[in-house]
Amino acid sequence: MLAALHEHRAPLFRYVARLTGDADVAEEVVQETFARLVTRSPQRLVDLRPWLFTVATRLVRDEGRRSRRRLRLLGARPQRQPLGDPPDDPASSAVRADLRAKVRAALAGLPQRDRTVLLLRESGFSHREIAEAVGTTTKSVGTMIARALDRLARELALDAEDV
Amino acid sequence: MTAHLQDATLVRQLDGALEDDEIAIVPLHLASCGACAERLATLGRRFERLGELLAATDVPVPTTALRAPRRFVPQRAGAAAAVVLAFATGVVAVRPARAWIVERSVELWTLVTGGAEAAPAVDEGPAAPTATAAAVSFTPSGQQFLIRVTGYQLAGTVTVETAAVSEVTAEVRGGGETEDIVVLPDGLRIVNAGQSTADYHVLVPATLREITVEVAGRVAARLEPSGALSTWTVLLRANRAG
Repeated sequence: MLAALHEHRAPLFRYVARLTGDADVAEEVVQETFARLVTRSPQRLVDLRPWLFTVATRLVRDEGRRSRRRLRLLGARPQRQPLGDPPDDPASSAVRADLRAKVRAALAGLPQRDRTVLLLRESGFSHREIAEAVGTTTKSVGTMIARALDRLARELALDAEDV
Repeated sequence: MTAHLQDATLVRQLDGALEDDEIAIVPLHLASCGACAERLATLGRRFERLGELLAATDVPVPTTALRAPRRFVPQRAGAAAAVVLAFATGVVAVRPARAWIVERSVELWTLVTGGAEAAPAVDEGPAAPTATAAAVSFTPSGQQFLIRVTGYQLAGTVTVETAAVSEVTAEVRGGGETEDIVVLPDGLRIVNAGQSTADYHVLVPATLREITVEVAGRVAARLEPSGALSTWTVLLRANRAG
């Protein structure tokens, strides 16, 4: 059981960090997701991975709703910038920071459901598992992924030889 | 003329998720339609490129293992009991969500170990915070004191001042509302944001033997007060710490 937790922690963190663009939020969501294992564990251990990602997805969705309300109340205070590695070399660090900001902005521009579906796919889930996680039909998953990918292709120049 | 396949269908083809009514049709169409086959390849390249971009821009996964609950942390004498919080500004309490997580972590740890296994060594830096506040005062638990700053900022400093006091007092000055100070068993953690320009003032007992300031996981300064009353300033702007 403990091995399973350690196995899933890093992929889950990466997924939530991509989804939210905030490493601190991701860490907190991952902690809360694992904590929920205590009282609402999946019926079979083989289902642990999709269960964890589904719980994390819903935590992010619920937090997003709260955050939107809060942002309205606060007059849309700018979001915190995600933190990364210490910038060893200013030039390469700046390039990496720019790229990270660009990717984050592109992801943030997607409807949350499309972003979630696309990132769950990137995490290796099947369309059936994704559909269950976000509460839609399997066929709709393909539509949402295609729509999200098309938008990201334009914003991130995915068709270019060198990005 | 047969209509071209939609991107959604091609995505299902790529992902092995074709619907029952598509399984017999889509591969046949692709075998005879160069445009759709080329589109399929384009989508495949996009996914590949997107995966590379996401991986290249991921933030590092925190090195902390599953947080062990506080009560399992090997206690130095009186360490936990010595932490006294006195908030200087307003009413700030332990975040309910964090408190809930710590509480549940106790149960979780018991669940996964059956209660028989000792807790792993805890990276006390980013461990579950005991409290957050705009300003805090507390009694340090040892002679070594660690100030861990999450990351670099646009501007700002950490000022460490030694004085004839018995408590550590830390506060955020001139910041927005995104900075936090988290009390840890062996020091404190300053949770900041990349665009912050806040300054952080930490008043510590001059009797401390060693004070380490870490920024983004790296040692930015190691101070040895040795009883002297001094002030050190660590710049938080990238590559200017010192």
